[in-house]
Amino acid sequence: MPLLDVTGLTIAFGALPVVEGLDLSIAKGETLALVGESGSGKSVSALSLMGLLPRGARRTGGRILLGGTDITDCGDAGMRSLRGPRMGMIFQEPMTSLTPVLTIGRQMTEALAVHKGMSGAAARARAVEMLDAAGIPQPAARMAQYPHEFSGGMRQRVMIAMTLALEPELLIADEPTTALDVTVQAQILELMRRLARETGTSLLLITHDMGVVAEMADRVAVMRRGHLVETGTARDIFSAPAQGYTRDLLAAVPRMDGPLRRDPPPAADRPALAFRGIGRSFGARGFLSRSAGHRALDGIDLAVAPGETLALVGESGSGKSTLGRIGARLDLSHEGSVQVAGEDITALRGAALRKARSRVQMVFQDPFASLDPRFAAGDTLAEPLAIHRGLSGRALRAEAGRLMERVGLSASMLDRLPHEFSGGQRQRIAIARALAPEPQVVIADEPTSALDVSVQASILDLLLGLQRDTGLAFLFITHDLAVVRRIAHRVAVLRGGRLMELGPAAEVMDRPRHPYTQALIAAAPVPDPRAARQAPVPPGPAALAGPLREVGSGHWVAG
Amino acid sequence: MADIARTAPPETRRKARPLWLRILRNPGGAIGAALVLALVLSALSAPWLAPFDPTKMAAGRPLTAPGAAHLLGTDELGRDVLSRILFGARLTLQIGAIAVGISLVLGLVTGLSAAHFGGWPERILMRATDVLFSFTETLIALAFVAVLGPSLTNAMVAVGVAAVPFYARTAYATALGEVAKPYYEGAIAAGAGHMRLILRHLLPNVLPTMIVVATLGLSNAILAAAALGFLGLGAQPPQPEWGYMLSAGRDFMNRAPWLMLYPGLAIALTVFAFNILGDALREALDPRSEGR
Repeated sequence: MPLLDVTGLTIAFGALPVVEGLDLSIAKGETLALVGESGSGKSVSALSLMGLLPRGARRTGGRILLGGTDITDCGDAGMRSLRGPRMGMIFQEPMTSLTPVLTIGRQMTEALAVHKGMSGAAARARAVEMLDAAGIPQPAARMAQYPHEFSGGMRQRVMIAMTLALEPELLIADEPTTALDVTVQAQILELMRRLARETGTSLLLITHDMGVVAEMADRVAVMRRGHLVETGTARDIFSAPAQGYTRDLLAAVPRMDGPLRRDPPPAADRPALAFRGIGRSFGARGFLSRSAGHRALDGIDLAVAPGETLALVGESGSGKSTLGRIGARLDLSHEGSVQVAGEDITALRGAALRKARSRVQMVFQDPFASLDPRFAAGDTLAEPLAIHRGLSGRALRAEAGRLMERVGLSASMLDRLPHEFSGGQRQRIAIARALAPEPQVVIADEPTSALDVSVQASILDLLLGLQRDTGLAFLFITHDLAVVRRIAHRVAVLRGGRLMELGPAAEVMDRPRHPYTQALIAAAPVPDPRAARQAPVPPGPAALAGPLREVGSGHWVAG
Repeated sequence: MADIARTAPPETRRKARPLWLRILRNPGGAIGAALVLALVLSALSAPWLAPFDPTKMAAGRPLTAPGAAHLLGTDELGRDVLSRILFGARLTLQIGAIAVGISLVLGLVTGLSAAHFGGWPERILMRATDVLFSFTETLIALAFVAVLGPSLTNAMVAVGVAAVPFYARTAYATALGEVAKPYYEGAIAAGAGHMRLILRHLLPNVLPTMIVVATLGLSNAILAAAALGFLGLGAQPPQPEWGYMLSAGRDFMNRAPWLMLYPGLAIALTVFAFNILGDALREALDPRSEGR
C-alpha cells in the first residue's frame, strides 16, 4: 500500500480548472519528482495536499489517502494535526520561510512542543540534534540566533532540520534549491537524500530542474497544463520517455556534457567593451563612519570583442551583476574605467552619457518587471527609437514592427500591454528594446534564468542568431554553466569580486584550473540518473585569489 | 519548441475603452460617481434647492427638531440646518478639493524627485519632510494661518501644505519600489531623460496608490479645515461649513443631536463617495483590468 495515494485530484481557480484528474502515488521511503513548466499545476497540487491552497483556488474533486486514511475532507483542524507530524513542507524561498522575529531555537522547539508534546529540555536537545544532522556547525550556539544571521543555504538547512525533526512520513519540497547557488544546491540535495534515507521519509520533490530530478528521484511524474503527461521510474523517463512532451522537455535542457559553441568570434582589433581595473565598494560611508564597506569588485580587467560572447559566471554575491550594471553605466565604479569601442564612458554626463548609453544595452533577468506595465510593446520600443534614432510617426512604427519581427514576434502585437504576453515573449520585447538603439554591446543579466527550459532554449537561439547577423558583442551574466557551454566563446569566473579564471570556454569548461571553477562544475547537476553521483566538493575558502597568471593561450588563473 | 513565442493569438488588441466607461462599469465606481455628481449638483444648485437663506437667523425657532417646516431642524440661532448643509457643500467640497490638490501636487513633486534623483536631493527633500512630519498637521496648519492671516482660503492652503509630508512619504516609498525595477533601468538605458522618466514612467505607476491616498486624505482635509474653523481660523461665521457646523453643534449634543448628526452624515457620505470612486479609478487605471 502506498503512503500517499492521490486519485483524480481536480483543482480550480474560480471556474478555471488548473489541475484535472491528477493521479499520484508515493511508496514509503520513495522519492517522487513532480516536474513541469510554469503553469503546469505542480505547485498548486502540492499545496492542495497540505490543505494550503491559495485564496480563490478550490479542490473540486479527487481523493487523497495518506497511509490508508482518507484525508480529503478532514477540515482545517484535521489538516493542522497532519501538517508537521505526518506531512512536512519546504518552500522555495529560504529568505522568507522562517519567521524573522523569533530565534531558530524558539521556532524549532515550538513545533516540537506542539506536535510531539516534548518538554523544554527534550525539545531543545532534539532540535540541536537535528541541526547537527543538517550540517549546521555549532548547533547549540546557533539556536539562539535569528534567521537573518544565517545565509540562504543555512536557512534552507534549518528549514529541513525543523521539518524533519517532527519525523513526518511525507516531506513535500517545492523547488527547495531553486533560489540557491549550485554549490549550495549540491550540498542541500545531498542532505535531503541522506536524511530521507536515514529516517525512511517519503519525498515529493517539485522542481523544474531536470538535473535535480536525475540526482534525486526514484520515480518521475511529468505534468503539463494541469494534466499528468506520464509517470515512470527515473531511469525510464530519462532513457526512454514515452510521450513527445517529455522528450521535448528533456531535449531542451542545456547539458553540462552538451556540445560547446564552435563558431569562433570574428577577428577584431579593439574590444567592444572593456573594463580596466574596476573596483566598487558598498556600504562605505565617508561621513562619520570609518567602515571600509564591502568590496563588491576588486581590480577587474575584462574585454569583450565585437561579435564575441563572454560569459561572466559566479554565484550570488560574486559581483557579476554589479559589473554588468557598471558596464551599462547604471552603476558607478569607484576605481577604474569602462571603455565602449575605445571611448572612455566612465566620467560622461548628461547628453554625452545618453549618447554613449545607446551603444551598451541591457537585458534583465525578470521578464515581468523589465517592461513598464503601462507601456504597450510599441511604446517601449518607440522610446529608444525616438531618442537615439530620431524616428517618428510612420517610420517609427515601421521600425518598431521590424524589431518585433526580428525577435520572433509579429508587428501586429505592438499595441499589446506587457501582461498580455508570456514570460518568453516579454523577454523577446526586452531584447528588441535593447536592439533598438543599434548598440555594439548587449549586457544580458541572467536573461533566461526566470524562463522555462523550452522557452530558455528558444531565447538562447534568438541571441545566437542576432549575434551572427549583426556582430553584436554579448556580456552574458549567468550562474548556469550548462547555458555557458551553448553560447560562450570565453568564460570569466568571478568570486567575491575578483576574477578566479578567464579563458576560452573549451578550456575553462573542460579543463578548469582553479579549484573554485572545478567545484562549480562538479556541483552542477547532470540530467542523467545513470551519471555517477559525486559527493559535493565544497568550494573552499577564498584562497588562491591573487593576480591572474597565464597558464595557456588566453587562459588565465588566479594564483 | 520555438513556436512557443507565437502561441498568443495574432489579432491586435481591441480598442481600449475610455477611462470613464471603465469606471462606470465597476458597480462601486458607478455608485461613487453618482454620489459625487449628486453632491456637486446640489452644491451648485443650493440657491434654488435651499428652502431658506443659510445665514438668516431666526428662520425658525432656535433648536427646532427636524419636522415639516425644517426638514433637518434649526440650530441654536434658528438657522435652517438643511439650507446650511446644502450651501455648506460648496465650501466643504472646495476645501477638500483644493487642500488635497495642493498636498497631492507638492507631495508628488517632492517624493518623485527624491526617489528619482537619489543622493543629495533625496537626502535634503526627505529629511525636510521628516522634520515637518514630526509636528502634528494641525500645528503646521496653525502656524501657516498665523503667518497668512485667518481666512477660508488661507485655511485651505494651510491644510493642504500641512499634509504634504504624508503624501511625499507615500509617493517616495511607492516610487522607490518602481525605480528599483528593471523597466526603469531599461528606460534609462534607452536614453530617457529625467523629465521623461519621472512623468512618463514613474508618475503613471505611482498615481494609482496616490489616488487612494488622496481619497482617504479628503476626509482628513475636511476635518482639519473644520478644526481650524472651530478655532476661528478657517471658515468665518456665519459662513456655512460642515466641519464648523459639526464642531459648533457639539455644545448642543444632548438637546439637539441633529445639529451634529446631519453635518456628520454629510461628511461621511462625501468621504464614502470619494473613496469608492477613488477605488474604481485606481482599478480602471490598472492596465491589467482593461477589457474586463
